[in-house]
Amino acid sequence: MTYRSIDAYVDDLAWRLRVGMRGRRRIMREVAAHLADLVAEEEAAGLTPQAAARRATARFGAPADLAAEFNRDDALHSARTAAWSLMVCVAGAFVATGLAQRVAPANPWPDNALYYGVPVMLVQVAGFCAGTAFLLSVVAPWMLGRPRGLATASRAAAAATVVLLPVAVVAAGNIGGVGWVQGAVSAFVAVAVPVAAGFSARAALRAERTAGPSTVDVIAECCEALALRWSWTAQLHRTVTSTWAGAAARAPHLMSWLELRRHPWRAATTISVAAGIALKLPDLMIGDLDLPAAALEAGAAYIGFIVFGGLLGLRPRVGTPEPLDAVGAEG
Amino acid sequence: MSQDMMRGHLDGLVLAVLTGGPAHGYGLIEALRDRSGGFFDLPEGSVYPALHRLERSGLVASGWSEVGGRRRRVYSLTASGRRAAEQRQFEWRSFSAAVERVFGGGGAGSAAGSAGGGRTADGGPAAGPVGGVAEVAS
Repeated sequence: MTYRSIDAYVDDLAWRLRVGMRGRRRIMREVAAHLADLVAEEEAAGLTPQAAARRATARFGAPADLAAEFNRDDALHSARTAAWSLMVCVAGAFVATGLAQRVAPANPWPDNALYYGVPVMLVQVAGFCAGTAFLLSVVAPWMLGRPRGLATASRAAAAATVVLLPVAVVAAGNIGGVGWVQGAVSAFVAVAVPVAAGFSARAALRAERTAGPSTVDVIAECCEALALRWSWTAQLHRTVTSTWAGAAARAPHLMSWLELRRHPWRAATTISVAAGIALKLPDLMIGDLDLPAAALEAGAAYIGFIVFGGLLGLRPRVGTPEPLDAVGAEG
Repeated sequence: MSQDMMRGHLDGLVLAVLTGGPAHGYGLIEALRDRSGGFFDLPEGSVYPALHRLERSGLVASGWSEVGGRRRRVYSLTASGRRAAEQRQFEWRSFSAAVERVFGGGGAGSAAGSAGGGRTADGGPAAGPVGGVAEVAS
């Protein structure tokens, strides 16, 4: 595509950019200044103004490629900011929830059930969602040298925000009735969560739309990258991988209950049962086995997988069978 | 050299050029072309995402200034940018020397690779990386 003027080129580029008002304005000014230099150079070489503009815009590169590069960098930066801010919010909410359980105000707002129940339940869910966003937008780019699954990261950040908002509301409603330490932490949560919500909304607007790899694939890639950093971990990784492959070949049905990438539903059942047992392990250690409570924990973990598994990229989404094919799924 | 391969090295090359002093985008891409003997004839706009990325990482600082009657954004290295440039230069020379040893096998190429991969800076700050890229690609 050729452009008859610098303005046409800059307008086309601006239309493709998804980097926010300030970023767009700055890029447009820089690009226009550079193109003006190029046009001056071409005119000095004897071209007409129109031919010079055409030549200058051709030399500058396709606006689509340039915008894609700016958008990719900005999406990563936005996702990273959102993930960091959400992790801080989850940490604050976790502390606030812990304090709220120990020293409750005389008349909790809005009522006792919501004051005690909402934050405890939601902070755990927010922790999973924010952790997934952090893994995909901060840890994975750092370890792998490139962003992976930013679309999933922005979804996870949005979910964490939605889950944290009621916690922030409860925290804000109880600032006045508690001690100053608890009040300060609650005030922090009440202010930080809306700020993080703003960052998450920005990340969602700038995130790429294409379906990326599943979160489980990214975790596997990160583990491999980490293992290859030292010779002894590389050796350990080879041993574990070959042992796993050998076990899968010898007992495919049994191993399918552990393979989250190929058999997400079966593996989720195993993980849920393990979580139910692990969460009740302290009771088991003192000989107070509560089977219904353990079953309830396992059920909650499985429901969590049903509700959030697709959102957080823990299982293949409907219409995107590629990850399964890529690892040689048997069904 | 493929666009993907180029993109992987562009940040380091931009840092190397900026070790020579502050520059604006137009001057920077010109310096990149001149110092590589015309090898890096990139789309001129490709340098801006790299500059913005480096600025976001704190390796480069920028500000508007009047140059030749026109307002331009001028980029310069920060202290950590200078350290990063040296680090990348060292890494590239080690890598380049190793690749040269594998490709060349022995003789003149190997000797040149060893010289280029020396641990001390034995040439201009940017001449190393730029020359190194041309060597491997040719």
